Amino acid sequence: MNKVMGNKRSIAFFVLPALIIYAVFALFPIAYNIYMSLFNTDLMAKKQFVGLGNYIGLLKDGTFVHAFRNNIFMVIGSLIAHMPLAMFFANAIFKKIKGAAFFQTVFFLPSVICGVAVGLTWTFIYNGNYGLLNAFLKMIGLGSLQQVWLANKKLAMFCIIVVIMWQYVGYHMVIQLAAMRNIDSAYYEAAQIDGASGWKQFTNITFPLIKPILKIDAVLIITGSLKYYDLVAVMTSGGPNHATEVMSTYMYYQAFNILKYGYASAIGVILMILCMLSVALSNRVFKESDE
Amino acid sequence: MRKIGEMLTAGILCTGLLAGCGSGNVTNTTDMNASDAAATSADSAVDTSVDDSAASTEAQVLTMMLNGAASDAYVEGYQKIIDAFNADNEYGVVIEPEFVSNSDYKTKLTTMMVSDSEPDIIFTWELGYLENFVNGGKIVNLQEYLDADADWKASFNSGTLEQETYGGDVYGIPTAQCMAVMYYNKAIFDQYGLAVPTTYEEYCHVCDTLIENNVTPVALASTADDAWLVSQYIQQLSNGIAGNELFEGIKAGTRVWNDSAMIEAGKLFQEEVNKGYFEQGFTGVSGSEAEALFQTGQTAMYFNGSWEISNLDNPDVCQEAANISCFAMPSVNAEYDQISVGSLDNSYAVTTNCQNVEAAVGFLKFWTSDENAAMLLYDYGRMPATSIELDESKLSSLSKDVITCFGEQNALTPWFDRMNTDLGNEFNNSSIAVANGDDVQEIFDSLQQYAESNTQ
Repeated sequence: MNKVMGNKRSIAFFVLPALIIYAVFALFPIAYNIYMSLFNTDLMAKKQFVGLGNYIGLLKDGTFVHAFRNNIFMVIGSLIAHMPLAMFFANAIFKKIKGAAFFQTVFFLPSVICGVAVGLTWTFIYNGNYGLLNAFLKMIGLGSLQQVWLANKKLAMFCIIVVIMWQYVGYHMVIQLAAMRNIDSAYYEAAQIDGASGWKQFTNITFPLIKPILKIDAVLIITGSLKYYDLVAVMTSGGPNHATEVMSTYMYYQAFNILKYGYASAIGVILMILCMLSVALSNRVFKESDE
Repeated sequence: MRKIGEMLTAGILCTGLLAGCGSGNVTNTTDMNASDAAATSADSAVDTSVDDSAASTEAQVLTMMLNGAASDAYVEGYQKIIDAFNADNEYGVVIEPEFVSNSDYKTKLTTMMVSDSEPDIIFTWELGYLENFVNGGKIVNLQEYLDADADWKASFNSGTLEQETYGGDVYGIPTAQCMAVMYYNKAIFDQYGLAVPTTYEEYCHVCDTLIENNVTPVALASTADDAWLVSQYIQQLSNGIAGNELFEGIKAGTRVWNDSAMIEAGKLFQEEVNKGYFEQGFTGVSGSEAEALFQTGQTAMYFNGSWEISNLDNPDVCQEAANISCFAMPSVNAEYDQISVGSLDNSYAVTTNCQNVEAAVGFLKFWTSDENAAMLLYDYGRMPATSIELDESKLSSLSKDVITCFGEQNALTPWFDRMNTDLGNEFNNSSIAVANGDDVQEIFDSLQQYAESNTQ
């Protein structure tokens, strides 16, 4: 077997199926999407070459700019919730607070539920007439704050971000917890002997040693937030009047609702570029802080 | 030898993997909705069609996609027509239906169209919606089939075929017509001594009286997925303010979306919202929730299309079935009375994927036959797009009321999202903003700006 694996042709043979699948389902669609973004097409009638016309159109498109802003809002919201908050929970569980195993399971649980189920559940919670949130507000004497949450264009996006925070904080907590558990306990023992406080132990031992994982986590959070789709589609379909539109839901709207596939492809390309840029940016930030 | 054996094993595994990735030839594409609907039918319709196709292996299968969910009572009627055709037709074909709910239909059809996997016969909306597919070369020109059968061509009501005519040729076959009516609960009206309103002032009086008696006047939905329900209401108000010339003007580009009549309609709607004519929190209520409010007697009125007849006069579905009647929404300006939102209810087109167009057309002729049109009207309240001899004794009370309203109309304006998919969708979104209390002038100015930038 070692002989086989040492042979370059054999390696190529084993890698080839995965490479073919990757090329067919990832590389080719990406290249085709870039190509399509240069056309005005509904994929049925003859397509018309417009060059960068779709991209120029996007810059002038108020709804797209709004969707882009929502994505940035989502990235910031997710970074706030998923980095410090997840780190706080991970550290608490790492320090073996009472019921740590229970809390670990409870926090992680929402992230294994599918997005559609989470979206529907929270749609009911936010419902203006029979929603849990309004009932709770009424119960504690804050009935004047009752809202039709998801129909309010100023609050709907915020409501969705709260759900994303709720769903994924446990997921990022587990990633960071795994990193913390990989730290050699000898460091903490030595720090304790030297009389270092819990905060000092965190800032001087835990944080620097989980940084590489935080980098991966940040990439996951940023790319995840940029291409977010399911919760928005289920909870508001981008409404009311595009108020909660994000780039992926707007891409869907342009392609499937109004048959502008070329325009939708251009949104897809911008989304891809933004994901790549954000990955490069987070790599750079963490690299600089490493140095 | 060992090396060859290892390579062979790996090869087999890879072949297995690739085979697993491939999609098998799934022959039975009948949707769950169809099966569910069939379960309610005495004939267990879907089972019959599948069994038939298995039994007569030589029968050519024509696939058909229809708009309807298991909860829609009329699906049973459609299935009866398909079963009858499958049981005996001169073409030796079997129609294999797939029912797709209204909310998923457009996405599914467009995806199938652009991937060249569309069924042989499709349900379609008229005007701008079908035009996209006609321009894409996806729809069979049916003009020659209509010309070849003068009786069939003459059987369609005036103005129906025109809505599916592009470049002088007909591409779709209308099977039913519809209009938006205001359904009302007679028992609630009687309880508060209210008469059917004939002017907008009377309509406001009805609503005000109901509010005084703590009854919610109208059930309305306004979520993003049901935006068309709000836009339908605003369009109806605009019809009553400026008549069908407004619709025709916007369609032709001679009038604008921020026309003073549209602004007035938007403001009037907001006034109604502020006065409490719609249920509390209606901006977060879905279509099915709004309908349920009316069906259970929690609101006195419900504004929707005549296709709802089969859901509203069926006591199994609607608690208040015995009390429901309807009226055409009165106009704001008397001179524009009896101009309602309405158009074709059901239309079918044959796609260029169809290998047996003659049989598909034969099936559509069968669907529009007097017998089937009458069955759909009498049993399911679908108003035919063809002229049939009416036997009023077979009509349900609600169907009779809707037909009376329909007959009194001076003009019908199709829904804006059928006129133009892109602009119509934006109008729907704008209507949601109006419902949420945003500045009406700004909303329609933006809509006009959008229309201009997309027609340049």
